[in-house]
Amino acid sequence: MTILYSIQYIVTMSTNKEEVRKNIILELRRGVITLVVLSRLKNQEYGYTLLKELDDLGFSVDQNTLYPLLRRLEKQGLLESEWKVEDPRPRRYYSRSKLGSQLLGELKEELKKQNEILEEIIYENHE
Amino acid sequence: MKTTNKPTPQELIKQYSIEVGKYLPAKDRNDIVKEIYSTLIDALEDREDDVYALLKENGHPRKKAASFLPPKYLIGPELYPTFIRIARIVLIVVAAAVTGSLILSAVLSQGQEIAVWELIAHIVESGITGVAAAFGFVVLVFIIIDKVNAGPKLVKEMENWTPEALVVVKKTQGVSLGEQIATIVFSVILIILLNFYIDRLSTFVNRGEMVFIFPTLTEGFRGYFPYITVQLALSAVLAVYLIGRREMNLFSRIAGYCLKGFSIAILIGLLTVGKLVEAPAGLVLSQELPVDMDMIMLVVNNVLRGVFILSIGLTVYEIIKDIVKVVKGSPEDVLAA
Repeated sequence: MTILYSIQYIVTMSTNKEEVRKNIILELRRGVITLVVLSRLKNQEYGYTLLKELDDLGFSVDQNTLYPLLRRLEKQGLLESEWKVEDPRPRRYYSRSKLGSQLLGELKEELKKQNEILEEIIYENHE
Repeated sequence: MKTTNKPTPQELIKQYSIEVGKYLPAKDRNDIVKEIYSTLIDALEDREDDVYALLKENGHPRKKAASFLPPKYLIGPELYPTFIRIARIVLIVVAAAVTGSLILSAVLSQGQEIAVWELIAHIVESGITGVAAAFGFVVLVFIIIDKVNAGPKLVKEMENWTPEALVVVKKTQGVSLGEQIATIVFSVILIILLNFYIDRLSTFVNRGEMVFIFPTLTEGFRGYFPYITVQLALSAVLAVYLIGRREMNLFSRIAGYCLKGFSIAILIGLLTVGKLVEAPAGLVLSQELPVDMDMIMLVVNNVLRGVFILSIGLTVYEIIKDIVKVVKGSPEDVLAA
């Protein structure tokens, strides 16, 4: 019985560890997702194509995260959208607004600064 | 005979999108549903996957819809800690009051044998009912406060907060939100008890073989109920006003003193009443009890008088302390200076 409990404990702990790791990586991505989306939407793009593109680039985003984000950014005036009828059905295309482009520039600058700070904190002084 | 055809993947996706729409606000519903449908169809074509796997991946329609909505609360996170604090106090007080009153009534019960388990069962039953009702009431009060005034106001206040506000709050005699909410909750509960449920305090309650008998409040005591109700109602109104303002001013301070004076007058009036509580007519105690009913009523009346005297003392002390604080300044003011 003790062996069984030990195995169960190890399995539970490793599952939790994996879960924790996944959640932290997700949080890390969530911090830059707005920047990523804004940077990819210079030209009009359909939501699903954007999802695939990001996936191919190694920046996987959940559908349930991306679509609400697109709508939120549109409400904030950072994106513009338009329904276009293509193939047999309509599709919604998103693109960066003027305000979105302006913010993107600022975000890039901020990220550059943060990267330098993070390099310093994580890799140089605390290894 | 009715036959059910297997739905096509497109039909399933359409149905799924409609289901998601049921959990969305009408304003954006059609637009979001259209987009979900269009995206899922594309995903299906692209993946050449099983539609069931695709929908499973997207999750329950309610979950999918929730991802498009901002978080919603009955009681916002800003007010929640205060809600927990007040709810805890109210529930403890109600549970203690129910238990205490039932034990007292059991002691005073007519010369019938009392089964301990029956008493415990009755305490549990009444306790659960009382605690549930009190909890529901506290929730209701907080929902109203959150939606009507304090919630949005508190959010705005927290957003605009600066460390200078600490000094401002002290100097202007800030109002404790928790204290005001507690005043409203207790005042309303007492008003309801006094005006609608007071008969329970003089009622015989049959529980199988056990009979609970509550002491009867005298006419003299009951004569003060309208004054007590007015005092409680005005206290609640003042608390609502203070929640709106979030700081004391001359009007609220004077109104507070007047209300305290009013409550002292009521308590002094009650002290002049000969008997506050008396046993119901015809009540006979069990021969096995070592005391008689007159003795018990004398103790209950004196305990009540003691409570009233204590309340008068505490109220006078509060008023004096407050006036001294305003005139001389509190230690906090001295430190701030």
